[in-house]
Amino acid sequence: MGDYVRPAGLDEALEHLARRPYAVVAGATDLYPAHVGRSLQGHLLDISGILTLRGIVRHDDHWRIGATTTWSDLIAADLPPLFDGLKQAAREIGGRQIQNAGTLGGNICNASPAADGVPPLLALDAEVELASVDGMVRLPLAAFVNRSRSTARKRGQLLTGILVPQPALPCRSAFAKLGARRYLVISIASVAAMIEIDCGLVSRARVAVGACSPVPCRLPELEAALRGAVLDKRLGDCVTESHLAALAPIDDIRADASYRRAAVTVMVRRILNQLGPA
Amino acid sequence: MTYAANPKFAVGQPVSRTEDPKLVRGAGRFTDDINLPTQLYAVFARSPHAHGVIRGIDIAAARAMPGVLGVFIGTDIEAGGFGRMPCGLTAPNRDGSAMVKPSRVALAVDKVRFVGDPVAVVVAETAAQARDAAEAVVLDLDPLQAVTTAESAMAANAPRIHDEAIGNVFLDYHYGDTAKVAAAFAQAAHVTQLDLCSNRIAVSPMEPRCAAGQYDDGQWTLHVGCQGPFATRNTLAREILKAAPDKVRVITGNVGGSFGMKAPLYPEYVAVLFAARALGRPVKWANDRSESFLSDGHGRDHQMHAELALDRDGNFLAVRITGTGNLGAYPGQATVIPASANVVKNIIGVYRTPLLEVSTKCVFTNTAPVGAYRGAGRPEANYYMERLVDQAAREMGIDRVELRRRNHIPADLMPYGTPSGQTYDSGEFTAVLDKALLFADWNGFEDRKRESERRGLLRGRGIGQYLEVTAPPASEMCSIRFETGGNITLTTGTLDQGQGHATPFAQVAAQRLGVPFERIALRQGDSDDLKAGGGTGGSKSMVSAGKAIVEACDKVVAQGRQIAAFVLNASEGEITFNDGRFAVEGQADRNLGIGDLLEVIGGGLPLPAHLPQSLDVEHIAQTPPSTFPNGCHIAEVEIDPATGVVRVDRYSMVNDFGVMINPLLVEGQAQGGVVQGLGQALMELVIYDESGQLLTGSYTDYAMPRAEDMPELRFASHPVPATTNPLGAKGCGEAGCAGALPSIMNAAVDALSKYGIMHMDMPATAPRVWQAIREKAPAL
Ligand SMILES: Cc1cc2nc3c(=O)[nH]c(=O)nc-3n(C[C@H](O)[C@H](O)[C@H](O)COP(=O)(O)OP(=O)(O)OC[C@H]3O[C@@H](n4cnc5c(N)ncnc54)[C@H](O)[C@@H]3O)c2cc1C
Repeated sequence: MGDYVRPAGLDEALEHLARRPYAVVAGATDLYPAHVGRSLQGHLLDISGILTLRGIVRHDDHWRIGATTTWSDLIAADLPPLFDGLKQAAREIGGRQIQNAGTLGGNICNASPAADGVPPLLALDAEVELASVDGMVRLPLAAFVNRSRSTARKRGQLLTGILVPQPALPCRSAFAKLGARRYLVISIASVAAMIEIDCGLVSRARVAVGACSPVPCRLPELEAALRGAVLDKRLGDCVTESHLAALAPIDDIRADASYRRAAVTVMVRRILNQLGPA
Repeated sequence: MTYAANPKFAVGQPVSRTEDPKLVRGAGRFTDDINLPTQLYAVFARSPHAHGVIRGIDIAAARAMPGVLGVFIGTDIEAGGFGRMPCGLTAPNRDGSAMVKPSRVALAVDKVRFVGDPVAVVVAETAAQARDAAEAVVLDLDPLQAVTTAESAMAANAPRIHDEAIGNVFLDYHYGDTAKVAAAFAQAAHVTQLDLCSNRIAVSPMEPRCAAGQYDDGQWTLHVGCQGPFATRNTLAREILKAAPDKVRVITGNVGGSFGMKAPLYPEYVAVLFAARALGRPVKWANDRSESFLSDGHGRDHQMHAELALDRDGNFLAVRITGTGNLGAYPGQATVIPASANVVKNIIGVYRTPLLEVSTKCVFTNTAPVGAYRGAGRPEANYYMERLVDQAAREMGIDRVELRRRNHIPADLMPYGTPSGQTYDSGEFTAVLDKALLFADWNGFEDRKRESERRGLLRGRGIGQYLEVTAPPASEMCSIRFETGGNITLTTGTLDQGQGHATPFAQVAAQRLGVPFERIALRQGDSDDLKAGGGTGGSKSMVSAGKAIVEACDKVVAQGRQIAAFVLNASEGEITFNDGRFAVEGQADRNLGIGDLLEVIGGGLPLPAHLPQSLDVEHIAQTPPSTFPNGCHIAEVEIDPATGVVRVDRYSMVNDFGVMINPLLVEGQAQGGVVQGLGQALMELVIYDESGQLLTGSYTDYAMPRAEDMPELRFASHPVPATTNPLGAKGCGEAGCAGALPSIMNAAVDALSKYGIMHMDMPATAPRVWQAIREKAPAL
């Protein structure tokens, strides 16, 4: 192993990053398992000591979630129904120990097709905030996680936060995942949805699916079809296979593509029905 | 002093485990907790290929790495005079010839035969240095084609894994009268057939395998987690080290689960002993979890064609099982019993089937060796039979409960001789079934089913009525030592791996001797203490150690009677023994408790030479015959037809474990067995690809059940005491699996029968169930 640094401040971290190709370490719950039986190579920049990167803050028109906010932090935070889906995802990530250590930033930067944090954040239309010694930039999440296992993060950049716009209208959100078991499992498929409600009608919907394409993605055709729909227990009935055309599920030892496609259709329907009034 | 048995620890009381406070405080001593002075660390270089001829193993780079003191390969071990890994079992092939027993050098010399086959051991000052250096070992291979399933290994053009094993067959097993069975099938009004798979399991105990070897001036010591240090010591001494038994000591501390897996002698143990001698320092090795997936013995992996012949009324005429067991790459560590003899013994179960035939081929493949796993063929055989019974009931239009009742061995036929050569001493199978139906509210099913259907879910119920034949007799040891101050040390050859032996063993001894339970400590795990001891396995410890304890206690009483007669100035024949007190018959005031006797002896009262000089006893018992634990488990599952997700919603069991020495621990054993059974039935599956690479090499891809997956496990008993052992107990350690596999799978098939699905293979994962539904009901 090369250098290991654990700065307390963001500026110091960015200076390190500008100098050397550090691998960033947050909770290490992705990094470590990826190196089972091998020692970590290269230089490590541990960002867990930078307190300003952790926590959730409300601003006028948006929320900011610090990159090193853990899943447990999120679960414990007092948040409106907008975040119900993200919280549900947090509860189903790994087990307690993983939730205590794993961070939202790590989940995004690891860019796994099965990252459970990404679909709910896509449904929230989140942006990511990237900092470097040259300054701060923002990118839509969908543009950041652009290919399987790869992000648009440039050398010298650190993911510092996730920005979630606060919609004007009341909203609801939900998340569901399917795996070999409920907990401690890599998703066979995961689904997240968010709707904004205006006088009992869906004024805007965002639906995203994980583990069924190289990167989690939204379903624009379905979102369009939902606009103006009556919000009731049968909201999901309108879902057709063609709405899921954007997905490209694969065969692996957990499930084959045809199963993933069928199961995810059912899950999308159910999660939308679940958003209807109780 | 008050030195008497407290009824709250009597036999039959749910006493909690005495070792738990120590274990939960982290004060247990598992093998990896052992650190010997000047100890070195070993790490193994393992083959990344499933099959290949070794052209060379280059250890120069590894040898030169920092901290490395030695790198050894198989030829070093051979040159060092070590024997090869033995294969203890012998069974004749169907044609009478002896089964082949290819030998194995602890570190592969000529060929590698599975991914994970150890080829070199690297020993260094630290574990990290050893690990780094192990990566620098270069294995030069001529790759060969690999075979990973029994079927492909037996194919005409398959590569041969061991020269001796033609067609890769290890054992061609047969039992039964082929002609009679064929005649019964020919006459049958109905024949039910199923192809059944018992899926391959990664055993996954919490504590990985670990060993520490030491050599000191001709004296060998091995610290290792196993299932019986006595047998391990003997095999090591005789076969590997070629040393007198008293020159070899095997010590086992706490064991964090084994389930059969840690029973055999593994090549790593041999290698650490070799390295310890070569380097003159103790050497420790601990498997990491990834290596465990590759190199621990796997469980199950059988593929059987099962057939049941019935007459017009549904009476069973004959059962026939034909198939294969995939034994992996090496004998010795693998065992043929689950796929051969244990099918025969257990397929009869609770039914009056007069004829059976079992033909199985145990086959070598380029996969990890397959050994015993909780039940070792018993749960599988019960699974085969119970699936056949449900299937026959459905095909013949006979109620599945009625079909079982009709074929039960009636209680009044006990003792009952089975066509597999067993003599059941006791059992009330119809009563057990009836009690289970009530306990599970079998008749309330339709309401629950409607309720599930309202939620869009399928619901099914399944019966698994099992009977297991526990391990056969062997010799077993118990010694009892009275320490100064009144503590009592009980030593047995059986070995706890988490079952909790110390508590029920002490309950038995406390009650027999009338001494305080709290004063009794159990000592196990040191071969130097033992003169016999088959160890633990096959659900027999309570019965076998129990008999040894009872007989040893009788000897204590006999000695005490002699000494008491002397002290009380009476003749031995006048002395009675009750509740821990020796008294002169008819003169209750002339008495001595065991505690008093200990004080007298400890106080130095001179005893005449012809009398025993203490109460201490060392006893070797011939253990009782196999017991026949049985029971009826009833599962109800819900299946989501849209996603295929199966969830066990209700689980109720009624078991006959005879006299339960400690019902709390018995229930715990039954629960653990059911959990492992549920795992096998619904999620666990080891997968190799065609080239022999393990695809399920971590818990990312190998699913184990979690608390969340378990319904409440409702437990009830219908105890019929065993008549063949002094405690009346029947083995309970493996039964949970035997009840769980068939009850859960019968329930899943019952739910899916709505779509005309007649069979599902284990594990019934969501994608598989969904696929099966899709094939029958594409429109859904
Ligand atoms: C047992 C287990 C179960 C799991 N279960 C799930 C699950 O159910 N669902 C799921 O989605 N995931 C699961 N995971 C994966 C993992 O826990 C999550 O993805 C977690 O959120 C990762 O966060 P981390 O902080 O640990 O990331 P790390 O491992 O620290 O980092 C992951 C990657 O992101 C990079 N990185 C981290 N933070 C930053 C940053 N701020 N800027 C730039 N780069 C950064 C790192 O360099 C690394 O490449 C599981 C992991 C384990 C071990």
